[in-house]
Amino acid sequence: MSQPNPKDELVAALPALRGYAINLTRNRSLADDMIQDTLVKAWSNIEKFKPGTNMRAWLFTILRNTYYTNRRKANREVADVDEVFASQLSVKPDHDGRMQFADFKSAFGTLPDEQREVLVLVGALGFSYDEAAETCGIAVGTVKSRVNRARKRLLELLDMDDETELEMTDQSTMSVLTASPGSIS
Amino acid sequence: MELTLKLGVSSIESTIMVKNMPKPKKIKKNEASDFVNDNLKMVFQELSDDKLPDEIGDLLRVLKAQDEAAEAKK
Repeated sequence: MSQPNPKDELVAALPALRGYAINLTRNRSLADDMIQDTLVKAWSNIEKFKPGTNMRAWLFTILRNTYYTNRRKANREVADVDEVFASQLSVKPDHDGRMQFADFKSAFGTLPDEQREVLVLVGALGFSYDEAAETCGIAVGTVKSRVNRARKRLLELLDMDDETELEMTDQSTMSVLTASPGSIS
Repeated sequence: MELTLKLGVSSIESTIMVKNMPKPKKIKKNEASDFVNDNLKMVFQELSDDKLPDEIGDLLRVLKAQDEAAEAKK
């Protein structure tokens, strides 16, 4: 079976690349500048892409490197000038689901950049921890801990407790856990 | 005396407030993970759904034209 043309794959990945760029920069104009830089770099270096590997991961890595290089040069933090994540908060929710989603977006927007980034890769895009680690240039363990911390923080912000699964506990332990203090001899 | 009274009222009020405070919703770990992932997918979908700006479409056309020109030269 013939491999798809990498340049076609690149074009098909542009919407996801834009989503990733907006999530990273929190600013649509800056995200679009980053996409143009990434597009030129990826197009002119397409022979470096290994067919059959993850095109999105390859593009995200280029975009991420471009973004952080530019940011270091500019030596400035990019604020949520677009209010990308907060914009929905002013919209009156028309039902519980919408309100819950608006709350989620708001909570998500408060997470540190490095947590938001890995959470999107792993949670929304289904990257493996290895792929996310490679894309972000960090250790796999760091990805795991950032994802766990981010998930925990989101649930805290949404006032949700992730309770321990007692169903997994064996019967004898369960009886000790549920017994009243006086009944244990 | 006044201070004691105020403290007493405040203590009762705070007890009532704590009792009336909504408790965090309990959610199982696997459900929590699904809940976060599902919402993340929606957030990301929203970010990716925007129409690509014209400048990116224009740039893409330029890059393709350059490729065609290079092919023609060969």
